[in-house]
Amino acid sequence: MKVNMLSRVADGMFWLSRYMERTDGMLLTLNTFYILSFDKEMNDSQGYKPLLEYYTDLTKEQINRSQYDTSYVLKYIICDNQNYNSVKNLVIKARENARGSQDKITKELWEHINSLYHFMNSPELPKKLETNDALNIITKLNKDLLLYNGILHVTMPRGLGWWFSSIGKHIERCLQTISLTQAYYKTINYNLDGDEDLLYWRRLLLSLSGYELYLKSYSNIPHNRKIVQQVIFNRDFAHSVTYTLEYIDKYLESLFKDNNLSEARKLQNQFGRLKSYVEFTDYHHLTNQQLEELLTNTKAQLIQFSTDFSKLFFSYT
Amino acid sequence: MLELLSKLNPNGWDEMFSSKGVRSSYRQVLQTLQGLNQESLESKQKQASDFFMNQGITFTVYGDDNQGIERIFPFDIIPRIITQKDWIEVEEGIKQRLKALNLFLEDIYNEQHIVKEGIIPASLIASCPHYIQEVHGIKIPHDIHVHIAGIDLIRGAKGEFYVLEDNLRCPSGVSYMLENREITKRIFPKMLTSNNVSMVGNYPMILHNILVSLSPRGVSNPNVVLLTPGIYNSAYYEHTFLARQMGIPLVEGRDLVVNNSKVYMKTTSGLQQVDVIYRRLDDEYLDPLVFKPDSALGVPGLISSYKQGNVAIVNAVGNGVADDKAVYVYVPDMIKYYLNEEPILKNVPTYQMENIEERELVFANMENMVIKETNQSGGYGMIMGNKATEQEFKKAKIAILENPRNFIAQPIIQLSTVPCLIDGELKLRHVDLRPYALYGPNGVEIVPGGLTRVALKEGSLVVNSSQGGGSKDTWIVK
Repeated sequence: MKVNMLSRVADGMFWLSRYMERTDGMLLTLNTFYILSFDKEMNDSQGYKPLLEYYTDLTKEQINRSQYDTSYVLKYIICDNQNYNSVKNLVIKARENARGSQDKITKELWEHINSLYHFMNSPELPKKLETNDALNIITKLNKDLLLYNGILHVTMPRGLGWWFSSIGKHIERCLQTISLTQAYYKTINYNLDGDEDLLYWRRLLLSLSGYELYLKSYSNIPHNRKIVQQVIFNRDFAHSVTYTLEYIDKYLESLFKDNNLSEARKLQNQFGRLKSYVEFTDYHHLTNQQLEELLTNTKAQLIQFSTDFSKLFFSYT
Repeated sequence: MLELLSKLNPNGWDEMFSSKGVRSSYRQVLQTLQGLNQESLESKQKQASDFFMNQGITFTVYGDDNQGIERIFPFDIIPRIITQKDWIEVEEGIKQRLKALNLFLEDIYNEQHIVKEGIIPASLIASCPHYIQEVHGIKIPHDIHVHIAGIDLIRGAKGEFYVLEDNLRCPSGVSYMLENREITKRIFPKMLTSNNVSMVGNYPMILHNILVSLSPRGVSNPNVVLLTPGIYNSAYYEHTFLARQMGIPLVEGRDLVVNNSKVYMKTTSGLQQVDVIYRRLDDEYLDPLVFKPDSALGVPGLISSYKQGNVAIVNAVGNGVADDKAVYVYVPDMIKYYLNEEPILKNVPTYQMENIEERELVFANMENMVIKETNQSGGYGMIMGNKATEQEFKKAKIAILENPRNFIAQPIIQLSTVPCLIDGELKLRHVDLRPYALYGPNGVEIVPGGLTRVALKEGSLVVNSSQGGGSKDTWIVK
């Protein structure tokens, strides 16, 4: 039986997924940086800078002032009301979208998001972050996000809601991968022939859940070009740009299967061009400048695609 | 172990105890409670609170920093029990009342025989703000106006039932009736089974069948939707709950559009026609072209589509005239007029402030009266004479004299009491009862149960959740 979905609800599910994926990525990065901050490593020239640059709207000066201030960063990222992208605010927004599409998400998923919301709003949380409990809290939140993804996979019916939700999730994940990758290549001028060691790249790989896969897949040195292969082109790495684009493509195909609108064809072509641009880039012979362009252009085109996608499916007001 | 009897001293009708001791329907429950220590009772109470919190059955309180704090509607774990014998009276009484009220609505929006024959004064109808001229003469499916009713009942000093008010527009609270039972299953599973308690869980199925039966289009799978004002509405949880239980889309006004006098919803695959709307917003917000022009909650053109019979609206538009507190006085007369029967359930004695003699009587006894605005609900616009100050009496008198049609007065009735677990102790609190009646082409059906609302403040007779009330699971025992 053909099931339709309200545009508003589809919009809600798309953004619910985006906010939760953003929260997940941000917490993973925070967890990585926080744990590594206990080691006094030689190559940590950035501190929390990549995290603050991508996920917050702090000014350059503010970031420079606070990039090594763990206590400030923990509170600002996790529960600061003024930070529009704090975990607390993202969970509030996610829950609001979940509430608006509550009849289309499962009870299990709703209850999990709701309990996370209550945890984030508990008045004791900011104080606890100042104590030795901070790591336990971040670990708990990381697990909550893993559980969210598990519940999503196990309980949600496949179909329209799933497709919109998955497209949102993979757009968000792709943007996170590109932005964090940019943060690490920008500081070395996109030098693909440089000799940054594994300690340098470990921070990026752990933030993207790709450290173990990297160790298993690649020989020891040099890393700069291999990291590109892993985070952009590796089809087996769930956070790579290629992987996420393939999944967006897959769900788009399901969405467009019975849709003969010319706008739909146009949007599918637009995404096809973006995917091909990445797919047919020869990373073996990639130059420094081409890497920079690849990341910048892919990001810009994906943001444009997301806007056009929303216009086509969610313009209900 | 809890000491119960020594702490209870019922003044009026107590649901658990009579002067001879515990009532037989409560015997097992009391035994179970006495077998529990305070810690385990409190742990059950906490389990219930956590259940409501995790489900999102909450409302938001905003502080000075504009940060919302989520609160649950308090739930008391000790059930309220009604015997089968009492329930039969309630059931028959509500069915009778609902049939009469429905006939009244059909009559008042068509021939108006009841007015022409002088049973109800024309001026009362003409002055009712909820009488909707726009739907006069409209034909609606099966002539049913009140598909869902939540009629509030109270018990007097001898345990006799009175109707306190008829809610025939968008009665809320049914999700609490259903969720209260779900939590009781978790905290008192054995007690529930051994007491042979009637089931309430089939309410959404009965409602869904009625909604489907109202479709104006002869299609096998009509498109039924639940229209909500949105996520900030205090009853939003209930809207999502019912939509989920019935498997129907939960829509907001902005999701719907009227084209060529038909209602459509905006989906990701284009427009899809809507056949039946179970609306959970009041008449005046339904259509900005007919009612409040500045309201964004409704759908422009909806009433036009409704009048042409292209969409069914549940409950019907204009029902407010039948649950107006001044019209309430005439319900016993309606029962006699339309059904030729004596009312099974009594009204609470009610004084109309338009009547000079009755007004004088009320003014002379204000401390024994509850004064209500006829077009308010939820405990708003109400003055309890035994709690009001001289200043409030003075203000009320001025308001009444300015617009007497807008007020009624009733003697304060001591509602019945049930023990509640409060601060680790069992204390008596006043309760009312809202059973939910569903009226479809096959007649009126009432699931055996209802929402028992509790006035949690000591001595208070105001049970509304907006005024600090809570709720209890309601058992009809066979």
